Amino acid sequence: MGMVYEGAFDANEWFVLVNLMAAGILIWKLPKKLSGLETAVHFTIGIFTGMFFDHTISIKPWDFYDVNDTSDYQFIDLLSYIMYGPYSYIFIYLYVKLNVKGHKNILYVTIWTIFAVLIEWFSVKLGIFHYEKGYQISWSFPIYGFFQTLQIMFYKISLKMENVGKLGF
Amino acid sequence: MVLPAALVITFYTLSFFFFIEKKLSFLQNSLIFMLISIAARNYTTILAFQLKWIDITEDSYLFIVFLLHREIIGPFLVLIFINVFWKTQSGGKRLVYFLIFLICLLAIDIFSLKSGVIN
Repeated sequence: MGMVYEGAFDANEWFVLVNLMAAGILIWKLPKKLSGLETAVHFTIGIFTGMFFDHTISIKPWDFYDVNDTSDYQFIDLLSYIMYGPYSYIFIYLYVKLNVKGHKNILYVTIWTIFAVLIEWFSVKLGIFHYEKGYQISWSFPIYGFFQTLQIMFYKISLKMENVGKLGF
Repeated sequence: MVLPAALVITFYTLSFFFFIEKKLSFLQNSLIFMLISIAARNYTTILAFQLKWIDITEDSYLFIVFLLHREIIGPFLVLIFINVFWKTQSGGKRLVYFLIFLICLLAIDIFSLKSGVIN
């Protein structure tokens, strides 16, 4: 048994569940801008990226933070990773809808990065993340910015690749 | 020695994937890659931290080898297999590809085990 922060079903669990439900309804109601495959890919990117960090820098030897009530892997942890999915989908959805081009890319990524850091700060307050070994939220800013830029690059590359045909990577 | 060896294996896995003729599109390959990675992270985390059936190294260099194995070599081997398998019509060839794929996965696992990446 690892570190236990609390055992109650409270704010952090409700935040994850309400977030998932609200985002699910929002995605369902939004007019479709992307194909089914694009939707699946951009939804999965969020889960893929969030889970990469949580299963890499939040385990030994680095172990910079724990997620939710204990340092063990719980079902609510899995749900909190799925929670990243709607954000990454809406990120690219609005990118397409707003037709972001040129220097506006920097502004778009900056606004989303600030929003992501604010959500993380709120998550820390609710007990979803527990920082260790001196980890600070300021580290998250460049990480979000970098990965959001990568997602935009991925979107642009995918448009080119899919137009060329089934060439794969 | 272990990290350079892992980097060489990663390089050849990626190169092989890049140059094979692919049956799936870029987005299809990307989606499968991410889903395999997500599955791999979950089962390694559950095996190591919940069931305690394996120990993942706490050495920083060897942990990079573990990440290369989990994030690149394993998922890309599966992608190579899926693309090659679907490109082939012959049942016999498919069986051979499956066996080669299985041997590659096992060889990588043995490499991680023998080099102390997992115990």
